[in-house]
Amino acid sequence: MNDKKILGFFENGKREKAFKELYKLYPRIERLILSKGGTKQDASDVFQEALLILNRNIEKSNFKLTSTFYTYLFSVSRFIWKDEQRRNIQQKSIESIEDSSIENQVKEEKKYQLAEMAFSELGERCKQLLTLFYHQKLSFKMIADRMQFSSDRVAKNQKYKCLAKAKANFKAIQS
Amino acid sequence: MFSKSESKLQSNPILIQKIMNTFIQDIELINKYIEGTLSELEKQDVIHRLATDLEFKTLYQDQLSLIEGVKRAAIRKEIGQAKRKYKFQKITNIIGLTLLTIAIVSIVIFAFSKKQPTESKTLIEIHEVVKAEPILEEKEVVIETDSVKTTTNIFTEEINTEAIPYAEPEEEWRDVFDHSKKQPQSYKFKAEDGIEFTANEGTKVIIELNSFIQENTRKVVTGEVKIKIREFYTLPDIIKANLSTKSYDNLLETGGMLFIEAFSNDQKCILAEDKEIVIKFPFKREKEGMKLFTATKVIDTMNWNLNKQEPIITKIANEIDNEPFISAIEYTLSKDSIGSGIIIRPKDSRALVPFSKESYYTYFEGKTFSINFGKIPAKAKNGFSYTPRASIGAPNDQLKPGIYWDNVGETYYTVVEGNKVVSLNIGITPKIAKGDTTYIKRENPKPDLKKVTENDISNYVLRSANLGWINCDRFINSKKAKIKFKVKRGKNDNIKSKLIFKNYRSVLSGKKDGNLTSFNGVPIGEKVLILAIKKEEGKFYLAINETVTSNKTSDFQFEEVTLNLLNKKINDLKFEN
Repeated sequence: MNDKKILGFFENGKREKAFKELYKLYPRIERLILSKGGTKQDASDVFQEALLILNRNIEKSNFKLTSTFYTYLFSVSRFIWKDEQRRNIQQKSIESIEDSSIENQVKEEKKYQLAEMAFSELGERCKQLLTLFYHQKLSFKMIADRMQFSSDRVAKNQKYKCLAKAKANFKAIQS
Repeated sequence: MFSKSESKLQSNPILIQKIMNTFIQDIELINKYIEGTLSELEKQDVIHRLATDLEFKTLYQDQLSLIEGVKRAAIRKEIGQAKRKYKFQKITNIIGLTLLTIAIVSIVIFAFSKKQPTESKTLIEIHEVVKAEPILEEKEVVIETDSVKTTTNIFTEEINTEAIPYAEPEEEWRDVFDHSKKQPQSYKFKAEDGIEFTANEGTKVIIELNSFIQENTRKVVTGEVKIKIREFYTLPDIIKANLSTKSYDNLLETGGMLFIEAFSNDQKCILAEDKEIVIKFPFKREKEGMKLFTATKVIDTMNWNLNKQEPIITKIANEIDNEPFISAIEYTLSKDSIGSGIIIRPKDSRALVPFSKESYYTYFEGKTFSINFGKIPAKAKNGFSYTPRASIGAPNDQLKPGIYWDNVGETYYTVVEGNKVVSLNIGITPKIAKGDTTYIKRENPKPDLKKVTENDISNYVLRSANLGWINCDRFINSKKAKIKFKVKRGKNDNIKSKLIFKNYRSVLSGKKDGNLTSFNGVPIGEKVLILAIKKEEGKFYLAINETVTSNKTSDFQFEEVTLNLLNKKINDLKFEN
């Protein structure tokens, strides 16, 4: 499948299909990480992180795919792995991708990784509630129905409590 | 969230509430700023605060990060699913390739061994293996047959997702069984908006925005959508629609059956992959174990497939587990005011606000939860919205220490201890007493359902990823032996029969079994009604016999009836439970 079709999946909200197609590139990324001393688990984690960064950039309104998905994921994966290994990036660019751009993207993502950790420490219902609100963008009424809160106002109130807890977790992780 | 010390906050719950309110207001403002829904003036104000208020700026940055953190977790889940699918596809490809290789090798061996050629057969088999989609589990679809079948895989997740149309009754039976006479109710709405409606017989349906795709093109539906729904709750409706309540060889008790369809420009729509509709089935007396079933096939009868092993949820309070207690407001009232007054809370406030020294009442989410009825002050109607609904204790009763909840079982609490009235935030069970505030552990986590009115708690809430036939059912887990219950039918082929259970909302369809009509998988010793309708030379005959199921063969006791009388007799039937 060509990159245009995969991009089309992203644009039409069919992320899972896009990710499934992109996983066809995984064996090559895995070889890269293994060749750099990583394990298969490392490769899996790195590739997942690269997909998260790719997704974030695709969602930005000014995103333009200037290389192939493979080149992009290769560069991001390589950078993530080196960052993981040495926490000190000195490598220069590969192919048409500029490392400074990659570096910024990976660094930006670090902040969100911590936020994700804070989120993952919440109880299941809090996680569900915040996901429905912030990711699926459901109204409080819909959330109340789906989660069986007795009213949208209850859902709203619970959301703030969950958010406050996530925020406290976030502060604790950052400190 | 809080910048003050915890100890100070604990001793000052009003301050906690104030900080919480500020937090909520700021978060709402930030969310709107992020979404771009603020007015230009509000936007400028936020920009100014971001530039000058360090605390607000930190809150904004943290909020941005947390939103992204939430999204990351959700996307990670999607990636995980994509990875699993990718791996599954890879494995099936390898298996397919391996089988193909084995097949080719086999063919070559056969060819060289000069034995009788069997290539064509082998090739067909190979082709099927390679082409086949992964099969989760082979499953038999049972449409009640003459023999008793034993099927154990009723809890399989594999379901028929196809919306099955109505089975049209045979021409000669349309006078009786033409359920098309029960016209569907239609509801129109914009796909982009979603809809919530209550159908004529009380079924509530909630459809989220952008839930549909075109069945043929798989394109997301925009613009007007028409929902058609038919409801089958009553025994006459179930009989006339020729429905039954059986899942393989297991008897079901119904909480209501529906047939739902969706159309956009007369084109059939289905639910998008990640969408579900919420259906609330009304009930008068709650029965445990209700689940969602979808029909697998409709010929003369239907088989219901358990859709998901999802527990039924009734409209009872929900709490977020282990959430910390956040805020409490305490008011100290005089003994006199407790005895004769009511507590008031304004609609948009979580605080318990004394309305005056003499008159108080508590407002909860559109319902007034009166601690002690007094005359509701006229002023309340201006400043506060209220609807008196339930009282705790009879008028003029002295309020006793304890914890109360409102009559829909929402987790609101008013705690009275001595001369103190404490109102707690919703959804939180206080576990311990803190500081000066007396919190009382809730003694009974659930509301007393006997006190709850039908309107307050009366729905089985289910979610379905499919339209078409939908049933809210539960299995009848009878310990009684199952038998094939038989009734003599004679030579007449033109008999329609139903077995109606007295103790359950269950209906089975009879099958011709030689000169008998048989009902399979029936618990022995059950009180039942046998209903049979015979058509002979243009005349109708009706038998409604009450009996107990046993191994003995029963008889139909037919009486000639007019079509009008036949319909009346069916319409008079009722479930007895």
